[in-house]
This record gives sequence, C-alpha cells and structure tokens, in this order.
Amino acid sequence: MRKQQEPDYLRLQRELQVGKIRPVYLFYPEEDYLAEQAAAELVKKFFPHAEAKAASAVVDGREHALTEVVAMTDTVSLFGGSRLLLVKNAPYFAKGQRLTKELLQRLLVKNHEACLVFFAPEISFTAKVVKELNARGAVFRFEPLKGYALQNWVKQQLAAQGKNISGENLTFFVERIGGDLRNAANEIAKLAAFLGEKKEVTKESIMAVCTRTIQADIFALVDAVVYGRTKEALFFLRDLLAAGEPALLILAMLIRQFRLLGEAKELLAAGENDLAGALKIHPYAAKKVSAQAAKTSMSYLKRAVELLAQCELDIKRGRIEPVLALETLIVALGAK
Amino acid sequence: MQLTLPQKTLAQQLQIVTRALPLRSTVSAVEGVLFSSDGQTLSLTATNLEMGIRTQINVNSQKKGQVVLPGKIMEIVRRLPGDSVSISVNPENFLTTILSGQAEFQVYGLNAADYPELPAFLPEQAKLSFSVKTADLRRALRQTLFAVSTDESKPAFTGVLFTLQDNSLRLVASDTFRLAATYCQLEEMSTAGEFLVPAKSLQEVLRILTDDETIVQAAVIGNQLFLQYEAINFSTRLLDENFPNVERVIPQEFCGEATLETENFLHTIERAALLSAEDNNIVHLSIGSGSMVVRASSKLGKIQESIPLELEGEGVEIALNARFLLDMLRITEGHQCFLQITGPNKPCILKDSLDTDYLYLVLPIKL
Repeated sequence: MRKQQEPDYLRLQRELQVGKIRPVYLFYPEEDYLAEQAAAELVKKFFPHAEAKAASAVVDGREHALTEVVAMTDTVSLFGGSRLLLVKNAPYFAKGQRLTKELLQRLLVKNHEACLVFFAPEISFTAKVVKELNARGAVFRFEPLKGYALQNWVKQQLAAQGKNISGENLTFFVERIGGDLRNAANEIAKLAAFLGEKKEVTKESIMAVCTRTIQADIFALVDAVVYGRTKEALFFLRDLLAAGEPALLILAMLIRQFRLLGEAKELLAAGENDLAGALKIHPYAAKKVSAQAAKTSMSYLKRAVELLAQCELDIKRGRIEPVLALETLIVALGAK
Repeated sequence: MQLTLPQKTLAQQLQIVTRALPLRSTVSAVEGVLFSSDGQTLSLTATNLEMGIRTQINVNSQKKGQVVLPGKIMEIVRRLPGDSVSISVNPENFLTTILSGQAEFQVYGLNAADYPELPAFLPEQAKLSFSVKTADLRRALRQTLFAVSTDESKPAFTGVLFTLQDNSLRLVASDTFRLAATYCQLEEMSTAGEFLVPAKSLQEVLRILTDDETIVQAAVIGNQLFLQYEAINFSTRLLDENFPNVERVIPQEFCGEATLETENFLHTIERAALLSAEDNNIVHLSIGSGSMVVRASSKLGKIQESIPLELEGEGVEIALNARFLLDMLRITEGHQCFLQITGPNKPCILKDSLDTDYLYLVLPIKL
C-alpha cells in the first residue's frame, strides 16, 4: 500500500516545533485559512517577544517588484533583530513571470536571519526558481482538506481548545459544517465557548450551536424527500429559505443531488466500489448517496428528474412563484 | 423642514461633511447626510461610524425638521444653477424638493430617526484637552502622516501617536521602515497624556483645516478625539493599541553630520529614483568630505551623481529607499537639510534647517 504523504501544513508544524525557520517560503494557498494559520505560527516562532513583532510586515505583492520586497526584508529593523515579510498575492512565480538567475541566487543565499514568505495564488511548478525552491523543501501547498485529513484537523483544533470528540461525533460535526476551514474554525470557537469547562463534545452540543451549511441542509432535505418524510422536508426547505438561501440555488442543489443519486445508482449497479472517487465527492457524501440510492427505484428517479426539470422551467418562465414551486416540488417528490 | 440658503455656502459645507461618508454601509441611513434644522441653524452630519463631521450654517428656516439625504446630494447641490437653494421636506414620506433657479429636484429622503447618534462633545467630561493654531497642526500632520503604515496586521502603526507635555504636542508616526516625529506649540493644554489617532481620520483633518491662525479646540472624551474648528465639529474613534516606545530607538549620538542644499539633494534623488523605481527603490549614498556620490541602477541603466556637502565627523556608505527620502525632502521648507549618520547599516536622521525639532529617521538596507 502506498504511504500517505504528510500534508504540507503538518510538515511546516513539525519543522517549526524543532525550531527550523527557512529564509524563504513559497506558500500555495489553495485553502487560504490553512496558509494564514501557518504564517501566524511562523510569526510567533520567529518573534518570541511581542514587541519584536513590529519587525514583521504584510505587503501586497501586486504593488511591489520582487527586488523591492527583497530590499524591504533586508532593511535594518527599527527595534533590532531581523525582519519577516509576508507577501500576499505574490505574482512572481506565475507562468510567464521571469525570474533571473541573479535574483534566484539572491533569494536563496540572502541573509539567513530574515524571513520572506510568499503567498502565491498561481505557481508555475515547471519554472526553474520554483523547482529550485521545491527541491529545498521551501514550497508548501495548502490544499483543501478532505476526509481523514479534515477530521484530523478538526480534532487537532478542538484539542488545542482542550476538547475531546468521539469518532462518530467528529463525522457528524464535519458533515454539519462542511469543508470550509475558516467557517469550521468559527464553529469550533463557538462550540468551545458553549462547552465552557466541559471537555467532551457531544452531538447535542454540536446541534445546539453549530450552524449547518447549505450542503448539510440539502443532504437533510434530500434525505427527508427520499425516505418519504415530506413534512420534515418542508421544514428543512423553510429553514433554508429563512436563512436567506435563494430559491433557485436550493433548486440547483436539489438537481445536483438527484443527478448524483442517478449516477450512483448506475455505478453501483455496474459494480463500482470507489463511489467517492468515481463521483469526485467526499467519502462521507458518497456513503450518504449510496444509502439513498439503495432506497430509490430507477422509475422514481426518472420521475424526479422530470419534476425537477418542470419546476425549473416553471420558475424561469415566470409561471409560478419560486417558493411555491419548490414547496409543490417537495410534496410531489415525496409522493412515491 | 423648509429653508432657503445660498447655494455656494451649502455646497462648501457639504464638501466638508461628505469626507466622512463611507463608500458602503450595512446601515443605509449612514450612506447619507443628515440635514437637521432647528429654525435658526442647519446642521449637516455625516459619519462612517469611525469618524464623524458636523457643520453648522445659519439659516432662516420657515419650518424646522430633519431628513437624511443620499450622499449624491453633494453633487446635486454643487451643480445647481441658482444663487440660492430652497429645500422642503414632506414629513410623511421624506420626499425632499430642492429648488434652485429653474431646476427642481425631488430626492427620496430617509427618516432621520434611523440615523446613528454621533458621540456627544461634552467638554466637562474631557480626559485631555488642548488648543492649537490650525497652521501648526497642519504642518505637524504634513510632517508625519506619510510615515504611517497601511499594514493592518500592525494596527498601532496605522495611527499617529499624540503626546501632550509641557504645553507642546508631540506627534510620532512610523511604518517600522522610517519614523517621523515633530512638535507643535500649544495655545493651552490640560494635563499631560497620550493617545493614538487613526491616520485615515487625520488625513481628512488635514484636508479640512486651513493654513492660518485660527484656533482648533481639541478634547479626548472616552475613546473619541473631538476637534472644533470654526463651525466644524470633527470626531474620531481612537486606536486602542499600544504604540511601542520609539524614543529609545532614536539615536542620540552621531558619527557624522552632513549639511546639504535641500533642493540639490531632492533633485538628485528624484533623478536617481527614475531608475531605482523600476527595480528596488534603492539609492546608494557615499558620503565623504566635501561631497556625496548618489548611485542607483536598474535594468534600464545606471546613474551616478555627485553633490556638494559640508561634513562634520565621519562619512559613510549607506543604501536607502529613495521613496522614503523623497517623502521628507518634498515637504522640507528650509533651504538646507542635515543628514545625521550613526554608521554603516545603522539608522540615519534627516532634519529640516527651518524646523530642527522635526526629526525623520530612515532605516538603511543592509549592504
């Protein structure tokens, strides 16, 4: 079995724990919250004393040439010590950008006391300078966390707040709040404040304070529709509308969910084992879809697709008011 | 509300208050200007909830009342054709009719009850108070504001530190790459103390104040700074941050001091910046006895220029950010400036011969 590669955010954490600070970091922040969190840890490690933190600066790379950014890092610090510069939106490593050999040398052999962190939204991994930085382990990809990595991250954040969570409740929490880490961090903070002195995160506490994402609500809505719980489905629909979700967005999510159901049913019939991989969805979502697919017949799905298409047509042609159209649709989908 | 007033007066006052308007706000009333008339005075108020400006105009109002008109009102009044403007508000729906010359505007107003209350200026509750000539305050703000940081990750450096002591006001600003500090003679002050004012608010103060002998009354009440100047009341929230003690980083001893002709120095750095701005903004200064050689280079080419100076003590080789030098040299009023040197890779200080209390510290780039 192939050994799972350690996520870069954990690699950076490990390096910082042993006091390793590099002169240059190239962050690829696909999940920007994770990159910001890593940068904050780096700043904390670089400046153990609060006052020295004044020698850190955040600049926008779109407003400064790379040579200017390097010069800023090399500027003597007002309070002594070295500087740390966080360069957001750094465009220097994108495709088509030219980095001279001299500059590359300067980046790599620049004074090792200072620290330069580039947040590059676009990186050409075939560029010589990126290859060089990559070879030195200075490139850190902050990819969106999924599955086990996401659960592990949530568990780590809860542990940092002194809270424990069981595997089952962890799955429930992740399902409820989704994969957006900034949102997840807010929900964790809420949860910790709600629990106070209590150590254990319970399902009840999650239900009491953690806001469901639209994705989680749509799951619940489709679940209720598929299992014939029309009254509950209507409750979820009103909940979504009250939260300010546009009717057309809810319809689009319903269409997507029923499309996934149809695809899952066909894939399962064809003997597919890796539903998550085949549908490119989260393993938890795949598990849910699989269970829903088992409960529905192909004829029901065909009728559902027709109802959904008709509902979309009716709304877009202005024949019916969108909320009424959705309510009618839910009732019709519930009648098996 | 029903009143008539000169178009020019209203346009001028609106131009002042609308400086406090936010670009966008979650409270729609805040995006407008509050018109409030008590029969004799028309008050105009705008706020972005961080700072607020209120001006007052004497009017002969037939009916008192209040209304919030959209920010566009400034543009409307500015373009009115007549010498006077008549404003009347329907109290039922706040529809406001604006008449001037042959033009008639009907503007949808908002209920003034929805407008947030500005912090009240109660001088008896002031923690600190002082008065200063507008020209002095303007000079001090011009000398310091450009050195403030725009980096929101260090909020303390996005403000200017005001320190009241010995009947003078000290202003300090720094973005950690340079530091500007100056003094203002006060007309009067209460007790000694210090507070941190957001630079964004002070930029507006600088635009509103005129260069004359008029006195500005200032007071700190709670977490607000109030400024009263003619018919203008200005208030801003203070920054609740600790500004680090910068006095200890200002060098007291120097290994050399160069005296330069300001204009000469300015124009040479401007020429060097034509090239350095294309690259890293660095200019190299070789300060020696009798002259200073300024060098800069970029992918466009190189420049080398020598300018005369008088040097006391030792010279130095130093690399500085050209933009930082220009920011100070452009506001220097004296025909000479002094460059105080503390050694290679150490801070240097620029001073204006006409205002030696003004100090501008620039940190060099390591060579």
